Amino acid sequence: MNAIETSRLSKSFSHGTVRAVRDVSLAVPAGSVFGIVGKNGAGKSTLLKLISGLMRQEAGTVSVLGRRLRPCESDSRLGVLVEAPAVYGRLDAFENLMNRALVLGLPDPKKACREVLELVGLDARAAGDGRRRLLWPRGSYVDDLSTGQRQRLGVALALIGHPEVLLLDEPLTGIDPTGVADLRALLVRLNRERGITIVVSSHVLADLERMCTHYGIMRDGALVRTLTAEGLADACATYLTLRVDAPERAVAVLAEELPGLTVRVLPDGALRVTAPGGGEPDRAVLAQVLLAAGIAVTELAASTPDVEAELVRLIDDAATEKGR
Amino acid sequence: MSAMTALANQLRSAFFLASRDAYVKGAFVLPALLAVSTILLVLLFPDANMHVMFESGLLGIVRTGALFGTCLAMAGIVTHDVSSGGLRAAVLAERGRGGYVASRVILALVLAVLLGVWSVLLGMAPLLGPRVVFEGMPAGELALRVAAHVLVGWTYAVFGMLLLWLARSPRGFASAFFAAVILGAGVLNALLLVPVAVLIPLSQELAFGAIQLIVPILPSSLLGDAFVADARLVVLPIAYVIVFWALSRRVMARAPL
Repeated sequence: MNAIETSRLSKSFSHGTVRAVRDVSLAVPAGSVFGIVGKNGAGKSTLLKLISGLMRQEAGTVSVLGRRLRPCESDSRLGVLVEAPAVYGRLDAFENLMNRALVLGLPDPKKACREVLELVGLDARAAGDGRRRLLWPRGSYVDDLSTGQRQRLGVALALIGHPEVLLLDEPLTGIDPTGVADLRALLVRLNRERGITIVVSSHVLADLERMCTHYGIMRDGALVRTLTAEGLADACATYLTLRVDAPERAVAVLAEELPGLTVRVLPDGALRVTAPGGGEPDRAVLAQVLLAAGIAVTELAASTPDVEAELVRLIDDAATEKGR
Repeated sequence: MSAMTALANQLRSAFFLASRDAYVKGAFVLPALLAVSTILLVLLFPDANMHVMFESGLLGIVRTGALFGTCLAMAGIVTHDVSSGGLRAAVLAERGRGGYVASRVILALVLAVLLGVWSVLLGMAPLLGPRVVFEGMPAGELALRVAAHVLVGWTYAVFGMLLLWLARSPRGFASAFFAAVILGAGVLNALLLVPVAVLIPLSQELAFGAIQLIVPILPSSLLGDAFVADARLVVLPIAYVIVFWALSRRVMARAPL
């Protein structure tokens, strides 16, 4: 069963002139960490809002853990952090968590609040104690917290109540580097140990690389590509770029003589050759085969892209690649 | 999760937030400030014979507490909900949107009753003075008048919440206080009289007919000198609250958050 499924989800603004989400059909496997990447304005946050029920879709459906949701309906099994944390600024962090725990109907709300505060590393002084005060209270209002502390509180609010699926929109924004590492490790641990499915969007691709098992690439409101971490790793394997005088004939020759290689014709006519297992293809054998077939090789270079560069390329890539 | 369980959870959250809300605290302070002057007189002049009229002494405090105070408290709570991200915390649950609206409507009634009782107690405090005498209407009528103020305060508060949810952009003290003032001053009654204003230049007969129809169903008709102890006392506020509740549910069911 997929944790989240959407079918042709669409949303536009400004009387239809801005199509924020266009026909997005998404399947997030249960137990995965699904990273959504894309440029600013690609529709990532809007998509998460539609899935969580914070916004009404114009078309399409959303299912969470097998249950189809009505438009603007939410599910208690979802933990959500989209855009800014959902907090009352004039309460302290503990009170905000207590409020959320009461809405969820948790049997021991105070214990749940203490546990989740410890999980996200929000210290007791910043969190406050939640005690009711008759006169204007002193203590750490959420309004007085730093951006990073507020973000930790937002993650805590998403985690309270042991959700089965987390929807996190830029969860690591504003957090110090140590905190980023801690929270990232926490999310990975929650996924591995408790099987929580996590859908996370982030501009910091390096953070996603360390967490994600799957990726979805969004561009102009559409989900243009989904791939697994293994697929991304394959895409980041060392490859050779060749320029030949007869690309189509070269593809046919290589397919016949060296069937183990993967050959793609790039938009500019160059060939990209990868070997199984990610190792560098043997240049000498390659050149020999092509020359024997009477195909001239004018350029031959090796490249090893990193994940971030490959993701950027996928985000920017506007054309369908031939030969895939 | 059943609808009743979801509502119970939302109510627990609503009462938790209300117990910490500055506007709610202010709503309880306001009638106390009004009562202070009378209580001070009793304390400063314990030997004086004091005759206090129910209408001016007690009902004035009840009007401040149960009517204006309820509007202030609920306008403040909804302003906090909408202007912060707190509203999301309520709706991100099963039956969250409907439960949120229902919990605020019920909270408004509870606060109206509590503020009404608090105001009555404050208003009766001067009776602690040995020579203080209350005069005016019979106790039974007084109780009904207090109940009328409580129910009308509830009606105004629910109407105010609907307006704030429609606006969805109230910010801070100015919004909440302005909302409370116009609600307490009876903006709902003014809106209900708009058809009369439209008809007057067209036909005075029709306008007079409209007045005959509309005035008896104005919430303000349950207060003041025109008070009549009949079924309208309960039926009218409940009817208005049901309509505003239904409209609020519809507004919140579609609102992007």
